[in-house]
Amino acid sequence: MIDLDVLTPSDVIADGAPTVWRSREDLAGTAEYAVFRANEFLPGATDAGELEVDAGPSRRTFLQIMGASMAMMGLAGCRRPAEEILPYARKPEEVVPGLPNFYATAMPFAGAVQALLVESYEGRPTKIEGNPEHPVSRGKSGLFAQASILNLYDPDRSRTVYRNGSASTWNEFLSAVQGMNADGASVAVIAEPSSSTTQASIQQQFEQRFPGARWIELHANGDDVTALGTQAAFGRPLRPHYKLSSADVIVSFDADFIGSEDPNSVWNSREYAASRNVDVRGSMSRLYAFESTYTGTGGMADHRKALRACDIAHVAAAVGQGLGVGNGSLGSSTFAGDPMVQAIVQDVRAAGGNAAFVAGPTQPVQVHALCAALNAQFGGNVVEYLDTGAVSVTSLSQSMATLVEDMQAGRIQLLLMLGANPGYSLPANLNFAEAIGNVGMSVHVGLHRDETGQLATWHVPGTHFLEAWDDGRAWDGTLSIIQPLIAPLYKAAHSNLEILSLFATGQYRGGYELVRGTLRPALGSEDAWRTALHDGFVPNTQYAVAGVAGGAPDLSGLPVMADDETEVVFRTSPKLHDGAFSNNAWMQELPHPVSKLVWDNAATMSRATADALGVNIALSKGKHEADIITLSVNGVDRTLPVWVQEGHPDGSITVTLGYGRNLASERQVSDRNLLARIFDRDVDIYRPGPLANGVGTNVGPMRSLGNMAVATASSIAATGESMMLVTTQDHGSMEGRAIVRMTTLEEYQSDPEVIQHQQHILDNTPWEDYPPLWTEPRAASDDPRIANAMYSSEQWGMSIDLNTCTGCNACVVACQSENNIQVVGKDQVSRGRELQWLRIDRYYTGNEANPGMVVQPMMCQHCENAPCESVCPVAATSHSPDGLNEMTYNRCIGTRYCSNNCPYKVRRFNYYNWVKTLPIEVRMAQNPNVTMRFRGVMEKCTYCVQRIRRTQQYAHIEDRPIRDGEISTACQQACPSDAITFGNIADPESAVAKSKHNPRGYDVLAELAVKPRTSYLARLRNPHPSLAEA
Amino acid sequence: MPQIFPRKANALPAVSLMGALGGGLVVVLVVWYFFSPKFTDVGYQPEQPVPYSHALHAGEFAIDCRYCHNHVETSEHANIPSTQTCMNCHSQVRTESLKLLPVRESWAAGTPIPWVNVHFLPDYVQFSHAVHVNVGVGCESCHGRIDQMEEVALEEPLSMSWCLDCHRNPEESLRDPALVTQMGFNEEVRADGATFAAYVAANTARIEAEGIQPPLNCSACHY
Repeated sequence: MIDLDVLTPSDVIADGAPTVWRSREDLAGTAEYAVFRANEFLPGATDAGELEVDAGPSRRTFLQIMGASMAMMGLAGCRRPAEEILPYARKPEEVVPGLPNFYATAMPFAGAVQALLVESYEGRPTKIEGNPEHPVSRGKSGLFAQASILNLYDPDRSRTVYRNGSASTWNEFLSAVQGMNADGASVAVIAEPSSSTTQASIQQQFEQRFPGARWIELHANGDDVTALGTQAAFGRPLRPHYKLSSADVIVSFDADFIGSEDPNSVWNSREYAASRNVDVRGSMSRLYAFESTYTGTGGMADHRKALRACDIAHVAAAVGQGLGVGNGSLGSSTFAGDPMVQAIVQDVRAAGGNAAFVAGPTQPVQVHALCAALNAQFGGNVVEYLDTGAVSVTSLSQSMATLVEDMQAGRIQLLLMLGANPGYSLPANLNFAEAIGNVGMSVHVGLHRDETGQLATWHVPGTHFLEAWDDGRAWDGTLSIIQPLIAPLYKAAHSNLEILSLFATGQYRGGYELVRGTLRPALGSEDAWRTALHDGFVPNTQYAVAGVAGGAPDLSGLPVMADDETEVVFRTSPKLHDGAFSNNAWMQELPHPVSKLVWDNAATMSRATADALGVNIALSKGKHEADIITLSVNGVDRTLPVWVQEGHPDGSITVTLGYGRNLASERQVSDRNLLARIFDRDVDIYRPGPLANGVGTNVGPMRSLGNMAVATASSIAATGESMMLVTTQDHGSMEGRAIVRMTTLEEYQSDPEVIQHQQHILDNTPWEDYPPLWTEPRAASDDPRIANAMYSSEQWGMSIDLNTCTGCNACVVACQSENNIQVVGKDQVSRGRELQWLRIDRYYTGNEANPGMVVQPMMCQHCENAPCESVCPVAATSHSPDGLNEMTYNRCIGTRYCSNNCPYKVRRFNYYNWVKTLPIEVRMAQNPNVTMRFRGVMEKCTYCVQRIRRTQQYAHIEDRPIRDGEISTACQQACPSDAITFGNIADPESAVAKSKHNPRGYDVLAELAVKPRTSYLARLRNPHPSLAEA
Repeated sequence: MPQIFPRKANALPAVSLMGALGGGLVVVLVVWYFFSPKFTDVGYQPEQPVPYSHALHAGEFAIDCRYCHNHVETSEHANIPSTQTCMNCHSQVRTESLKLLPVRESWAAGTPIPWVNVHFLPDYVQFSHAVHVNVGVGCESCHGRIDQMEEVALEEPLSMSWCLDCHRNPEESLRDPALVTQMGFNEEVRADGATFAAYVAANTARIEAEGIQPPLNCSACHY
């Protein structure tokens, strides 16, 4: 037997490379963690034991069925199933079957719109991308935009008008509205935030018809604290617009401004990435983050400090004091002498107008006002304040409290709820559910008959933004037209605009008429209208930049929390937002950007807080068993599992909204027949009802109107029970090898080769004797079979910049959408059976108490010497002439040898036939260019081969070479921070080839000589000299 | 002790071995022949909702294939014509024909005519008409003599080995892209040995000049 050296982590971690770890167990090297390292497949992955599926039939029934089906096979087996082709009766001119059409539209999100370009096959929208010509989007789209296509095809969307809980019709609703006695009625509207100009003009008509009508915008986070803050600082609400690319110092006070939930996250991510682009800029910005929970922004920060949200306000005050802004009566503040605060003050003073201060939704209005004043004084070159035209904003605690009081007292005759879901998110002590019963007529318009829809007198199915006309403004004010790509899937569905206009005028008018009626005159000519429709936006319609002078924010009233109290911080979920994405299977299964939790929300806290509460998370056989606590806030109790988050502040608990839904669905779920139970022992995530129901706990009602973001826990008690939480943070562990490389800007600039020196070295082999793997440039393989084949002039490769990747997850969902990747459910993920081709590995660096974070997208590396290919007994995975590691599904027999032999653990196996259980609506979301995979088949990242092949074919037809950048993979196209470069590495002029020559470039596990085609650019940190790591 | 087995039983192992081998061979040959697409699929001729005759339209009237299958040069799908295409002529010609009743009904109601798919490829095969037609693979090479078919039948097995036959030897199947719709071309060039040799030689020259090399790797068609 050949005696092979076994590599141990200590052999391959070179001197100087930072220690990276995935979880506490990994760091401690516990025995429980060994299961993630030792085996390709987690416990439970390869056996069906304890599977929560229908119990199979008895042996007797099985034999009966087998006998019967054998007999029937003899009769029916010879007949070929006839497949029909249904052409158009009258074919629309622009539709070519098999070729996609692209339409520009926009997605309303958190009060602004994100400009999109949507791919449509024969009238069926299938994929969402950013609008490449739009000044904010520039072809990029965020996580929520990517996922929103599945919301359109949500099988649990409401289809019928409901009246008092029973099915009604649109015509009945219409006559009820038209027969309504409107004179002198006391009317209120609760609407989701909207930037629609058409809605604004209908709102005026509405207010003419119902004088004194109250209009309340219900933001996911409660109050619009940014607007309130700028109002306090400048006298009117303004909108900060961060042009971070030129920033030298960025200070975040609990703001996850590059996270997907920020309404301008696409812009912020790109600008932030540009500020870190050392290759172009020669320097890098420095990001300081104070955080009450670990976010992607904290992960990118050069200096991060975990503090309770209430303490961060005082840090902000101390920073303000250091810079001479704000009233300085901060005697109690212990943060004035904090070295990080002092470093910030020093940096900001040196930055000369290139500083930016960002405050997050957990921060009180005073901190937002302080940041506004600081930006006005120190961020003149970076932060613009845009005049949105708003005159004033009021706090929700005034408007909503009075409204609910009036509702309770029966003083409201008509309550209109447009897309908003107050019955779910409002504080329980408001008693909204009871109050709505005393309203004369309450109307809810929404995609689901959700918590509010079930309370309201009338529920009207809402439309998805891909189904209805509207318009809106991007964060910078650019006017976009939202044009539908498909008629509403359900006849009864109507848009917010149509319903509002119906109430305003008593007449039904369609969305097209309404939007055109507003915008066509404003645009001047028919040509301008058509151009705007085609482009998706009207150029040069940005909001004007308001001249601002530094205000003098009053910080005297900052709330103070005693050290022994525990605060509870309410956040929108980075996966489900405020619940708008709760019934979206992709988003439920998407790993949280930091904790990597799937399918659940948890009470996230620090190790010390958990210890103090006497709760823990036990890791056994690859599964996490979390203790459950009862959390009592504002008199409302909720039970939640505990999640211990490294780098979470002590004395603080983070909970996320969007979970614990109660949606009513009309979808018929038929019983599975016996045959299906035998042959398709598949686990159906769409069964029995809406998948959002029963997942997690709704924490919204624990809030109070006064402060919707932060509260004090009145009691926290362990229940003594526990539940399984599923996280993918440890899945795909690579034996502790240092596969992320990083250094500091200073070291890199003094020695650009520093990253190369972090190369792993094999045991006892001097580096000089180590055989070179290949010589640069990495030319196409010299194998004549490859070199002489067609298409071998193109050699595909990818480069991923860890310096700009924020771990926002947009690529993961983009990949899922493009490649028809199925969702498997919580139980299956706990067995390591998730199917996402692209995972984002999150590593902690440094010590356990305050770790840094670095994320690394990991997918098939398309190795030139692919280990998977040599072990496949049926050659189902092989190499193409253009350097792709091909996966041929129809050839695969499911031995899973390839997966076992993959050093990157990126191959995914279909343990069940997930496609078979897809509801018909969800099937419509699938990409027609990608094969749906069957049970027993291996799959993995293909570099979006369908896009490569299509481009190659048309370049061949048109007899031209493929241009650099012509092919983009789905992940690359979505990435808001441009971290992914893809192209032909055989062309030395291509962007990817140049990127591979960057001195920061390295290959993961290069010592294995597998020659991966995907390489990475090392992460750089830019710490302040005085804050050198102890 | 008397012998239990007669002497001739000595032949039994040999006979059973031969039988097993022979039987195995028969099974292999049976599967080889009867389970191949050549046997199971070729000749498939489902009844169509409208008795449309390609022999009449494409053969006798010599309407170009691309009049109806109009996206064949631009899209992966050749396009089954819309009812509108039929009505271009049949709003004038044979307006009373009973055979055309489903077409007129479709036109009146705006509902599609449910044509039955004859040339069936599995979902895991990505085939593009555009790239084949533009390089000069004739319609008849895969679809046979459509111009002689009253009702369309499957002429070729559409199996992977059949695809690869052509991808490996493109010089035997290519023609001037301007002639892709010409029927009977393949017979003409195979009329005698000399013609065929000249045709292959011309194609080989073209293949070398234009660098035509049909891909043989898996992900050319499977993804």
